[in-house]
Amino acid sequence: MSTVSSFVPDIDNLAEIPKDADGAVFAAPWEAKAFALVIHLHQRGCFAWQDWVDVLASEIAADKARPAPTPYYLLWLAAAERIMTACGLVDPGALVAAQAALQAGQLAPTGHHDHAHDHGDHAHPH
Amino acid sequence: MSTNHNRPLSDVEIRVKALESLLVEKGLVDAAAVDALIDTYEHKVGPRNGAQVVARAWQDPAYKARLLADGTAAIAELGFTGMQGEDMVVVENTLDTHNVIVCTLCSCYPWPTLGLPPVWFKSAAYRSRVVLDPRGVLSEFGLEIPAEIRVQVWDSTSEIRYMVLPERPAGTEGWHEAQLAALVTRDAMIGVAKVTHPNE
Repeated sequence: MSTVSSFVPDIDNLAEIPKDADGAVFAAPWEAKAFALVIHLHQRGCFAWQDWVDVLASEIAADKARPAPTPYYLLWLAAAERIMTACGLVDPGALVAAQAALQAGQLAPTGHHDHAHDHGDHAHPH
Repeated sequence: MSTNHNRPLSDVEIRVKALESLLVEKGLVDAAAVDALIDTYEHKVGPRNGAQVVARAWQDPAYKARLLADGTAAIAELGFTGMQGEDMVVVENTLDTHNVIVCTLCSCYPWPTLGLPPVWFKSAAYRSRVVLDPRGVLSEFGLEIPAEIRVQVWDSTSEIRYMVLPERPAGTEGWHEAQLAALVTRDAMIGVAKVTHPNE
């Protein structure tokens, strides 16, 4: 995939991103996934980094008007959904349908769980 | 008990998964590349929690005893929680046993202590082969376990996550906890590496 840039955007220009001296900090796997999807699509040239910074900043600015602050990566995810639908990468209707399907899948008694399994005794001595 | 294997996804997890699945479907996202990116950014933040647990256990025998007796509670003492209800079990490497962890059927991983799983941890090759031929897999990681030492493979269950307490390297007597923690790697806590003295 020669079209994929190896350029890794500088996250320092993202105000308020949770990080420590080593870099970005994620409180849960979904946060890291949401983070990586945005970086990946930018690297593939789907949108300019500055456009992302602007969309995210507008989500953060809108949140300032709310009585209680929204966790950072919820704003990140909302901004990601916005930029991806705005650029035509993702169809808004398809997104809602995919969410509904995932929700329905796990409500159905025989729903598909790719993680579901019942282990018995798990130590394998060798 | 709710579990990471089959607990319902939260609304936010569903939103992320829906987005990802559409992007993968359209060929816009390569799942392996996304995992590699997470690795790049996540640095050592996650594993650093586990490293602190290990360093404390090396320094404080009473803490080590609590850690081996009830991993979840002892890890929570250091402020590391966030598990989904599953228990942490810490398995200690000893003179006659080396431990390695896996989740054979998916990729359950003690992320509050070890961060996000490395890409290979989730690979079908690692998951199936480490059980069948642990010594062979470890040697591919550059870790040769002598024949007289038993290799024990710990497979995550729906309710238990494992973490390895590696051996403290020789020559680190008198070191501070922070110095010790800096030596502890993610791979050592998975069991595919040993902790080594920096001069080794």
